[in-house]
Amino acid sequence: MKKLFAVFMVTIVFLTLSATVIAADAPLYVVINKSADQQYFIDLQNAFVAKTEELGGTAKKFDAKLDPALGVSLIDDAISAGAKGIAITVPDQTIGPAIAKAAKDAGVVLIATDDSIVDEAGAPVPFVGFDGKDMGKKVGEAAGKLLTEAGWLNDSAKKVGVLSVEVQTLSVCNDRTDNEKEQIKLVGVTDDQIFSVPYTGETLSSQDAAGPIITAHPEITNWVVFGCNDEGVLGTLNALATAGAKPDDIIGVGLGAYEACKPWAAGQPSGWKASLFISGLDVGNTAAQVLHDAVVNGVVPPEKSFAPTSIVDPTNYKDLMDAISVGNCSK
Amino acid sequence: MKKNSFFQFLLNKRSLVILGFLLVCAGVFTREFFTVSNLTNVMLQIATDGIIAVGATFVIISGGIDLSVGSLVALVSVITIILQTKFNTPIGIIVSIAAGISVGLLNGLLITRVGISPFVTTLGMMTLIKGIALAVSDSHSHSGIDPNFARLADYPIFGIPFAAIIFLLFVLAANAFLVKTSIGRGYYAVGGNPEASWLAGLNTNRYILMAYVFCSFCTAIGGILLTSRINTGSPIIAGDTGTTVVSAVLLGGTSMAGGIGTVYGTFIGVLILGVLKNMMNLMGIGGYYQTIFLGLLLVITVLADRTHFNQHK
Repeated sequence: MKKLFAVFMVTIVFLTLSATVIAADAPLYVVINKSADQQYFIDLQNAFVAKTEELGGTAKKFDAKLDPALGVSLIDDAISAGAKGIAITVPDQTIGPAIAKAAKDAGVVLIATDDSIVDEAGAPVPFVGFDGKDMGKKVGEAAGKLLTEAGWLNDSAKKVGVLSVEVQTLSVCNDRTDNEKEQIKLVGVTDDQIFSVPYTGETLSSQDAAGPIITAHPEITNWVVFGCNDEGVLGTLNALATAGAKPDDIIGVGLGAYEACKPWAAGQPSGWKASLFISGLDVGNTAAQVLHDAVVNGVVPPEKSFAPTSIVDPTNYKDLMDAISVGNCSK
Repeated sequence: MKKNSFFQFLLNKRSLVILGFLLVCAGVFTREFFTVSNLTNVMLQIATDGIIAVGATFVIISGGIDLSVGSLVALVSVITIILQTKFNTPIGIIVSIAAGISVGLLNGLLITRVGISPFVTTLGMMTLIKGIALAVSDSHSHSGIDPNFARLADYPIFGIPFAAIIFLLFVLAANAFLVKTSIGRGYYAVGGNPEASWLAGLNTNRYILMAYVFCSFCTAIGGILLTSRINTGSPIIAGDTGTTVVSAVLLGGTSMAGGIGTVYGTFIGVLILGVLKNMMNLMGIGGYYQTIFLGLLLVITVLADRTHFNQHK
């Protein structure tokens, strides 16, 4: 028994010593998700890995499971694994200073994806994602264009109401919905025609919040709906359907397109008239490129790198969305 | 005969065998595991759950279960940071420890005085505490403002993180108490046969009450160190802590039936989980596969425990 223990201890010591002298070949990059059970983040990680390998690096995927403490631990594990660069969608923005310090102390390049974070000094960590204000502007413009084309504002028989579905506690969501409202006003909608629908970011929450607002305004015949994400618009469209509104009397413009495209793919009439397509694939690709440029080419990561977005509708979504996203529309 | 005795040895020392196997695997399959920086990292990662697991060992040995530890960590986290911001760090720490002890007292009193089962009591407390944490924090996270507190958990003393040293001290002290004192040995009696213990003159209710108080005290200490590490008061942290802690205690050879177990065993159990998670991360094995592996390991351990228990009946 003592011999067995001695052999075991010698093995451990040998492995410890050998671990310190072995060096990695291709640079390692780690991508950390905040939630690996959402399609958007799955796409982001897969694209990151594919792009990294295409650029000659190796990549590992971690999942923080919406737990801030696990997020910090995974940064430590990524550093221990020998990562030269880390892309993280933080489960909680308040861990920013802690993870930025850990990465800086280890000499590892850190970028934030989707949710911006700051370091200990309050300086922003390089960010890859979407421009919230620009997204809001595009959604608002699309809604305004559709509203103008429908001619509802000039028809005395029609009374228009706008449902702005908002996560009012999230600045990133306010960036979107504030700009959506600004754009819709440019085509002639007034403040008293806009109704805020507060929700948590989830479908059921917006459905519950929109119901009473719709019921309280029976005089409104035609509705325009936009919000922070597709889930918010979907819940509100469900509430409108429950209240008896017809798809032709609704202009729903989503943000994400992953819910909007489902009735389009099924050929069902719906209130969804357009949505802003945002792709996790684009963010993953951009993040991988930014890290590669920083580690291999010594390029300082820009403070903000924005992935492209585009408005899609039933006629063009198959052309403008990638194959994976289009496939998900039929699920 | 020899084969049988070797199998018996493996069964008796199963946690050490599993740990040894994992360490060899870690060395073979990852080149980073045995680096000094990673070993320090593992020590830091296991420390908070480890401290909580020490407290949970007392509860499980005495025949109970505490499902509320994860929610209590979240509450402690929120209290520590909010009070740090409003007053100072020491007040945050003191109130957090007091809150922890209060939760333990409440758990213990509901179980011993009211007679509600440990499972139902701590399940209810888990939900209640989670709600309080969300209410106190207004459902969002708060950043710490004390840089010294932010460095507390990973502050190195002879190269070992402070949190890991606290964990080791808890292990040594708790083990000495359980093994070397008559009061400590009483926990085994209470967990193994509460009726006989009562008839022998042991105040079983007091033992059970103190087990829950100690468990919650350990949880508060673990929660404070975790909060220091992430420098954030969050009402949603430690979602997996309850499962991890119970798993570590069971992996260490403590029986859910009560009356059997050691703190050193729990220490090994915590190491097993820490090494396994870290090794899988280094190997790039994703979150859900990790959950499957951990689940399988736990089921195998419980089966081994059952086999061992049946052989000694």
